[in-house]
Amino acid sequence: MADPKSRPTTTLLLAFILAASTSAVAQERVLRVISDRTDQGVVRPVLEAFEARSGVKVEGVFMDQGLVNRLESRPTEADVVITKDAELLDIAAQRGLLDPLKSAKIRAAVPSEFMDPADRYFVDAYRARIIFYSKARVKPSDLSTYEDLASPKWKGRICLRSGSHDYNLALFGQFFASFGEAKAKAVISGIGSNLARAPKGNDREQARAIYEGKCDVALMNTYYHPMMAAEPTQKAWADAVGVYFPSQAGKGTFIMRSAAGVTKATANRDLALALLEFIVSREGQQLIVDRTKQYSVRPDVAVHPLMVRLGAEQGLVDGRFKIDFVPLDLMAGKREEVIRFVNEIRFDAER
Amino acid sequence: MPGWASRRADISAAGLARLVFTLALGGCALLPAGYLLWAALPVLFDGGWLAHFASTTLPHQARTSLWVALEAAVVAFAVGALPAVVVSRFDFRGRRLVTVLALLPLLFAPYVTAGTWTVMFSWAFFEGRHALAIQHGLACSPYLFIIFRVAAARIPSAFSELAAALGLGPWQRLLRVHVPTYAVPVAAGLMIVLAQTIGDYAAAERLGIDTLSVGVHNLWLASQSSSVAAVVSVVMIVPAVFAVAVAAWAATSIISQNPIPPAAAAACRKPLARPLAWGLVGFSLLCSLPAFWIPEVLTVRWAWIKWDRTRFAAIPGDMLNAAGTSLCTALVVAAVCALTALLLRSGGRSRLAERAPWLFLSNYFLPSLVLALAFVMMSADGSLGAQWLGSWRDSRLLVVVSEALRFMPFAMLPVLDALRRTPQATIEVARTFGAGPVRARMVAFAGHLWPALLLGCALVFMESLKELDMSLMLQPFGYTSPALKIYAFSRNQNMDRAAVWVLITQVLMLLPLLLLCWRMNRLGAPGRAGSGQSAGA
Repeated sequence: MADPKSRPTTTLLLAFILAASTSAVAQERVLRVISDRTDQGVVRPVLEAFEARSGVKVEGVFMDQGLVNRLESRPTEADVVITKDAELLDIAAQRGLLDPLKSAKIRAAVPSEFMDPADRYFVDAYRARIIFYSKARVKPSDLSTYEDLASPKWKGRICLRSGSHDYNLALFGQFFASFGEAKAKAVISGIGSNLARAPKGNDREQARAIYEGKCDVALMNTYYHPMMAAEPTQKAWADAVGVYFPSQAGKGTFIMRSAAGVTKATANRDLALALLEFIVSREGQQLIVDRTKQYSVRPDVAVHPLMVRLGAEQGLVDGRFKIDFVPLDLMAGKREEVIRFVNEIRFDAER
Repeated sequence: MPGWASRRADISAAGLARLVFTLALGGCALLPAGYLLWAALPVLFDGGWLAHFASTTLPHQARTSLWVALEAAVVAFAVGALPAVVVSRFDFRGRRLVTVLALLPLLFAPYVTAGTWTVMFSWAFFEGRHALAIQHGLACSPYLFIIFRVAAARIPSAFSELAAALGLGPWQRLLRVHVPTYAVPVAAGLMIVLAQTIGDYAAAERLGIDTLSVGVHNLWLASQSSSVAAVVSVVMIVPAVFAVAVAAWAATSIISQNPIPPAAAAACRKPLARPLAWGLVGFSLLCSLPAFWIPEVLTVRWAWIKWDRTRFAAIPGDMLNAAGTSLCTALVVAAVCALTALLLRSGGRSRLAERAPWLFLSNYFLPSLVLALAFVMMSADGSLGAQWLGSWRDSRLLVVVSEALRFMPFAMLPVLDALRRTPQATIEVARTFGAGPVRARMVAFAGHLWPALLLGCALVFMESLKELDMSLMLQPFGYTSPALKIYAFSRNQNMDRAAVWVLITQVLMLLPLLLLCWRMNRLGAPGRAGSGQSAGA
């Protein structure tokens, strides 16, 4: 017969072992996410919310550059891939690095135009690449379309980040798909020859350049406006610029899509899908909208109030704007064409 | 006769071991570049990327890189080498201050300085290629200071005095005495500046300067293709290896033609006129303003302002991570250098042994992202590298190894220098007194090599702490470090939120910096005749 005095000790010991084993089991389930976002950027809040909700530990590699190369070399080291540019995920899918999702929840939540036709990835959110202009030196009535930025009236008045950056490659690729090759080349060359300075810095630096009077207009992603307004050191830049959604009277404004998919790693496929299903859930989408100021792919998630204000002067209602939607399968091969072209015209050269 | 045969066999075995080790060193040094070349050759002309690159941006980018590098070299020699020679050869109040001011820029990574400049200054000049050149020149100036401080302390002033006594004028003395005696430090300094400037991506991209490195990156990242990256890297790999090989050949040849006596006395320092001394102190102070003080003041101010938004819980883990990785890198470098010292013959008798380790410098020429890409490719699933590494591939081992390869020259070249100055006779005498081969070398190297190794490893530790690209590309899952945090914040134009992490990195670098300052100040100190030998650089 066991000594009754030893029972509390035994119970405690068992509890400890149980807790330790539970914790060990929990620690065994680690979901690995690879992303070209930075660690302090927009992905972290979503992952933390998923961790809190599921109890699963999420470990990330946030590398910003060279994502597809690493994925290609180590196709199964991560369970989930999240990119700021859906084109990269399309490249990964074409190279056979993604597994079909086969998730009814994702299919139900994401409109078909934002799904890969082969079900290998989906667009989780998007933002528009629009014209930021100097409130002091440009009237909104001076602005109209992307093509107009190539006209001589903008000579020496445009600022832009590198033509080889993912955002501009995606934008120029959409020019190729939507305008046709000849017109796209003319527009890109025209914008290049209208630049006020060599392409440099990130999007926010273009707003700063407008604030400092170095140029009058820039092409930037929508969410930078509220993000700059929230930073005390950048508020003046946000205040100095207005935003304009180009081509609303025509085919519409081009968008940048972020996307997610699962790799061919199979050990944590259930967790990987759980994370992606969380991302497309109403809760997940609301979180993305609140934290990143992107537009949700779900029609039932409203545009962030700060984003509703953008474009109101143009008569946009509820922050919704007309999109010149270029399906990702039409973008195949455009990226290489764009790279070669921006190099040919030495888009990034000093001026 | 059996004794002679046995000795002959011993010599042959030792020689063979040295040869194998030398070849292994050279192989390790060229492994990433060699792998990229091997990956590139079969597809060199596929897709026409090389022809496209060569016919579009390459010529302009190469020219820009070269001009920036040459300008940076002028700045680095003016800010680093000039004060070093004066401090070595003259006595004046403020020598220690000049030394400290010259070494302070080591506390900033070039991309951090670029970030602070672009935030602080909105004048067009600070966004141009001259600003980039100045920035690289200032960033390299501490290395030139160290190199020239050691070299000048070792060169006896008797050479110049003898030439003067023979009637040679100042220009003739410059050409016939000073230029030959400073040829090796000039070559070494020039290689460091060229390598850092040409290989840099982060600072050039930040300032929007279209350099060769930026061109290679753009083509790689835009195409998202390892093959394209390997193909376009060829245009940097081939000239880099060639330049390093020429530098190694030239430097070792010059050394053999202008042998500086191993026991050369430290320069007898002459007093420097007070106005000149004040002028030098003022010049050093002025140069340290953009290189250290302005970025530092801004960083402290930003950290103070953003103190409440700092995630303090992450600080200990990140510090430990960064310190651990950098320490491991320094230890790997130390181990390779120690092996080099123990296995290679001292006294500079083997040209091959002297020249092969120079090849590590070619990794410093390559953009670090390209170097990282080579490691990603070498450790791809199913590759030999992945099989060898096993689960270690998913650790920080690859970050450590790639950083060790890149920063190896900082310790390896001083070690080679120290080896050359260690008389073979010392080892032989130690052997006759009964010491074993390892023990004999340990004793012989005590005064020459270990200080050089220690200082080299201190530099490696500091460089590893600041290194970004390889951590970014090769980081294992869940890995964080101050450098990654700085990058993440600065990408979003939040240099103010990056400030705390910059300061944390600086705290970790403080000890090696103090060690460097201490050693530099001890060089040629009174009562330390010949101490120039014991510093290494």
